[in-house]
Amino acid sequence: MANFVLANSGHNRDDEASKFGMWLFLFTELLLFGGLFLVYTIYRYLNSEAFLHASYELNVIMGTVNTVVLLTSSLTVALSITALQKGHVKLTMWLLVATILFALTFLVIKYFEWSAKFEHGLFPGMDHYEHLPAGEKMFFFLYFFMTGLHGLHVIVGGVLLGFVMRDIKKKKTTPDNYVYLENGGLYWHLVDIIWIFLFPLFYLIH
Amino acid sequence: MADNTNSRHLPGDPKEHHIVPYKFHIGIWVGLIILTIMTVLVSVMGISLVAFSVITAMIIASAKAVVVANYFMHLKYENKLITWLMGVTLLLFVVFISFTAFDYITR
Repeated sequence: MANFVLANSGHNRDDEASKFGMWLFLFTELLLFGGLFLVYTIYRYLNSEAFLHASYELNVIMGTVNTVVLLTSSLTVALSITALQKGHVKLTMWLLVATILFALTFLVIKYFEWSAKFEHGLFPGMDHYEHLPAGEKMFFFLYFFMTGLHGLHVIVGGVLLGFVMRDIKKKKTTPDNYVYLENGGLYWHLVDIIWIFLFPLFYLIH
Repeated sequence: MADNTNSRHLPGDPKEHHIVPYKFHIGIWVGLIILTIMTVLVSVMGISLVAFSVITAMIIASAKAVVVANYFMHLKYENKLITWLMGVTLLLFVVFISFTAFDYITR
């Protein structure tokens, strides 16, 4: 009687389910930022003049450069998946190194941007900030909160890709089993997509 | 789940994945950069009808997001269920935003 075989006996892998789980998580991330975009939309509607005025404080060039940096890092992650599928393990590693370097570049540029705002006392709680009109306060509050939360995601994404690299080195992630890399890539692209919306909403109001 | 089991892989079977060529990805990237330049120009060159530039910026941003999701994230080659659920997520967001907006606009 005890003569049955499990459908997937021998290997416990279901790449489709793994990716599905990752996507479900990404949907919750979208709604997390969605809530913030909702707050942004309403307060911008209520304070459109103040938002316009405050947005001139942001540096469009730095924002644009960061957009290009993130888009390029998305490219290198996407290419790394192709490379691993084709069995070019070394190229995969270099592309992931490039991605992490782009992530660091993004953070360094963000650091300079934030430092400039700190010098102008625009961080919530600082002197200059306290004397701003309510609408402009809201703009800077949302700016710091949303780019800060996004920056946190950049850090997490970079670390996650570092773990993927370790797995590739240990040969746990291989040309035949690369769902870990795909999921890491998915997270990274989400970070990029969120920035795609943050950039015009904060920097390009003009 | 699916009834055409013979054409499907058993769970765990190594499957022939759709491999997206390098060149294709680079082409997508060029397109994204062009869209970025467009959105910056529209803003900085000052087509200064505020409403118009917000809508233009959001259309361009959405186009970029769709391209990233479809090609970089391989959504186009995945199970359609994921695309449907993405639609549900976006619908939820539209509900949040439109209901809140109606509330504020009609006060």
